[in-house]
Amino acid sequence: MDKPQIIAHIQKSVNYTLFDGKWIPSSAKFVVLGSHARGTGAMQVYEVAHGDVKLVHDIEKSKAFKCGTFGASSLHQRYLATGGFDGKVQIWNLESTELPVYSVTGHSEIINAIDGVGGLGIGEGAPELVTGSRDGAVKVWDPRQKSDPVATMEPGEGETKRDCWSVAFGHAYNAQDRCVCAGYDNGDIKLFDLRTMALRWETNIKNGVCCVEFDRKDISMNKLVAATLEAKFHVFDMRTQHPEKGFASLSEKAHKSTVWLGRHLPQNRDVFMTCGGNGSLNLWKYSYPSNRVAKDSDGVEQGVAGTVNLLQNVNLSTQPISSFDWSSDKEGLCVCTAFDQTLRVLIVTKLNRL
Amino acid sequence: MPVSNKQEDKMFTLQSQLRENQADLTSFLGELDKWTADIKKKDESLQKQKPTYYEQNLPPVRNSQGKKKKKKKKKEDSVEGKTEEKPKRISSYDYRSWDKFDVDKACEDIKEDGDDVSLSDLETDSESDEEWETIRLQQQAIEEKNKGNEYFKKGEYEQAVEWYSKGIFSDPTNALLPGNRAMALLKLERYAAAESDATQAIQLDPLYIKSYLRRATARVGLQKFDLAKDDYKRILNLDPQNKAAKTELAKLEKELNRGSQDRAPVSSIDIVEEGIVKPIYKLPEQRSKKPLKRIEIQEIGIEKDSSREAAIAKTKATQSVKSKEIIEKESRRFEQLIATQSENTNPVEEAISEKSSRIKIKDQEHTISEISSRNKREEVEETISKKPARSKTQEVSSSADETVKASESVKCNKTQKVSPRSEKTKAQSSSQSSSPRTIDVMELAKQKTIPTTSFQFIADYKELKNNLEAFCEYFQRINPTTFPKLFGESLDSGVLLNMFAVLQKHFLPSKKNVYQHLKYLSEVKRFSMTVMFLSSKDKQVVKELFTGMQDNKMAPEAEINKLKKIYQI
Repeated sequence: MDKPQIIAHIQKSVNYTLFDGKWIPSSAKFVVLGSHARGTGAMQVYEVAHGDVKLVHDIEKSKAFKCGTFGASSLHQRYLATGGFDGKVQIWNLESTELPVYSVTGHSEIINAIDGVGGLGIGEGAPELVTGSRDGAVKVWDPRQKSDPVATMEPGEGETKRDCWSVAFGHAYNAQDRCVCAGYDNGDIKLFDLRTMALRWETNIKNGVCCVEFDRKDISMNKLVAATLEAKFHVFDMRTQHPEKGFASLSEKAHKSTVWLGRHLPQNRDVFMTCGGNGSLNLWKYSYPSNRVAKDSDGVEQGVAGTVNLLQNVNLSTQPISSFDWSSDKEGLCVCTAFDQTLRVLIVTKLNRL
Repeated sequence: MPVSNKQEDKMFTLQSQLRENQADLTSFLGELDKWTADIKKKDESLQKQKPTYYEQNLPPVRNSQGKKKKKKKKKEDSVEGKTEEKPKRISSYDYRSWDKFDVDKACEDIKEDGDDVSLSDLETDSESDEEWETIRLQQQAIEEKNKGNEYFKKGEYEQAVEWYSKGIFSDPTNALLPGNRAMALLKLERYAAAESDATQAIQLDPLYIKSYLRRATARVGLQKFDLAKDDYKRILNLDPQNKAAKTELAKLEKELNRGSQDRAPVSSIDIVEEGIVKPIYKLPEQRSKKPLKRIEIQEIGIEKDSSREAAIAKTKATQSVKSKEIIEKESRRFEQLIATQSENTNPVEEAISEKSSRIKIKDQEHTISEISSRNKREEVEETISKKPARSKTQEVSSSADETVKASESVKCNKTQKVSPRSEKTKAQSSSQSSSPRTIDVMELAKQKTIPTTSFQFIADYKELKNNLEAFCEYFQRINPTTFPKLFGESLDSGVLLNMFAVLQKHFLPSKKNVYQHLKYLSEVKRFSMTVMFLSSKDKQVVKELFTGMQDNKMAPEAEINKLKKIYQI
């Protein structure tokens, strides 16, 4: 039996609400972000050692943190970029956290999602951050440019502003090409091409989009997972864009509850974990169809969606899983946070045998 | 036992699976420990590692090039702004900037800053010597002008004029030099010279407002008031906010008015008359951006009578577009009749004759009774003012209301609905301005070519319909045989009635044959339909035409009788 096992290796309760957890690259440490009951921001760094976690740093800041990423930081610096409840984008040196190394009030409301690219040797081109906020705007930041975003995607004057719940970088396979995908509360998914500075594609998947993620940021767009409310997630084949139909996709029911997240395994882009509102984790494997491209009646190429197989299903908590992060350095090692105020280090075995 | 064997097998595989999983996990954990140790070393080495300047190889910040350019531009702008603060640094090429530079301001500047511009300040990027020479001369002219400004400031106008003259010699293209010399000459009260200088300045720069002001002052000095006024007006055209021009113009006009009491009125037309709203001219950028306010127009002075209001509402509801058109045409015809022959009671009667039904008779009686009490002109007004209201009531079928309405229409004959039209006719008849107008229209009628299409005819008719004679002139020239083709399907009663009037009033007295006209008119499509709706009074006109025709033996009796049938007489 080659079914991967998902084992809760270490559990740790904290006294604040956890929103995000991220492995610090090239280390056995991870950082968790959250909000204290008094509304202040919590940032803690833990180190995994001998079957337990050791608190390395415990930082409290005036405003709550919602999300964070190391994606735009160099491997040497490993600065954490955070998005806060107050709409602030900040970059922290975790070794000295008195003051952020970069801070800008990027949005008028809470930043729901942040993603980075161009750092850590992942993705070509400039290091950039993207933030999505309740104010409806998606903004791209370059840590080298203070105070102003390098690109802003927001609804025009008079258009209704949708709450942006998720953002993701992708398509950063050379210095020029780069895409930002954003998911909104009304089920809209928009794909912005940063090279042409234009909206490349948009669709609506009916339910609010809790998470979008490309299987890889640093390759020509391959797959996109979009997790939604109402216990569904969608996988788009992003290789072939039909001029009218867009990208081929499949949708799958999962968790019997909101699908909060979809996270691809860094060591295998066809395996991904989804996290449910009922505290469960589902491990999926995507199988490509025999032919990924087909021609329609007019001879125009269009993509063909594959299939997904559920590999494993575990229930960790009664509360939604708020974050999940695979370690890019150790296959099968992951950290997740849940609204039961517990952070967990998980082990997923046999991933190398899939 | 196979069952127990199966169970045992299952148990066994489960156990082995568990064991396997356990083994996997323990091996994973072992690896993990090893990995954590390794990664920790790597982590520490990374932290200790000197910062690599990897960022140097990074691509530039996105969209930063455009931004940098913008900033640069801003800087340049601010630099330019600074140079503008010191007028002496303005390039000699930049005449627009020089426009802003003038004597008075320069004098103040000189006080604060005595620096003169040296040639080195100039942007001498010109290639040829010739260009350089012109630049040098221009610069010299500016220096000479500055000298002139200094003398001007001291009040030594003769000296100032001398320096300005030198400047003009050096650079004849600079509008400021003659402009400033004009000012100095004004101070010396040499108005003629000042005028010619100002004219020169204006020729060099038609937008140099101050030179207009100076020329105007000079012209006032020369008693050329009308020309001065023209100058002030031009200033106000260029700059409607110019206070100096406004006040001077007002002053000038006041003086002219005072003078005009003794002399003949110079130009009373130009004086703004009270109560006359004139169009305001403003440059597009100075116009108000606000949308125009909608002003509700309320009818006041009408007796609030519920039955009347109900009747109006009713008539409005029942009134078809067509009937509205007819009413309008009829009223137009009324005006025209009155305008052309104001002393003749005939049109009034004729107009009244257009009405059928009981109301009309009542009104007629009313009118007749009024005729006795009033003079003719008043009576004309009265009839007109009553008319629209009356024709509206015509549409109402209920006979019970009619009498009430008719009387009411008389009562409210001076309401706003009607008054503009009656006022118009009043103005026309009272001022007797119709006579020059008649001539104009007559000429117009003579100029008109014979129409070949109904469209052309209607266009011409619209211009001429208010003048029966002109229309007659025009109508005479149309060949009757072309009528059916010309009018096509669009012979409306208004046009037809006008034609009858022409035939009756101009053809019959001069014994011209009207048979052809009547015959071919009857061949126009839908003619019988139009005739059917003629009022008895209109038919009277037609009858007169026929009797005239019979009396003068214009056509065989049988033919006339045939035609009579078509005309339903």
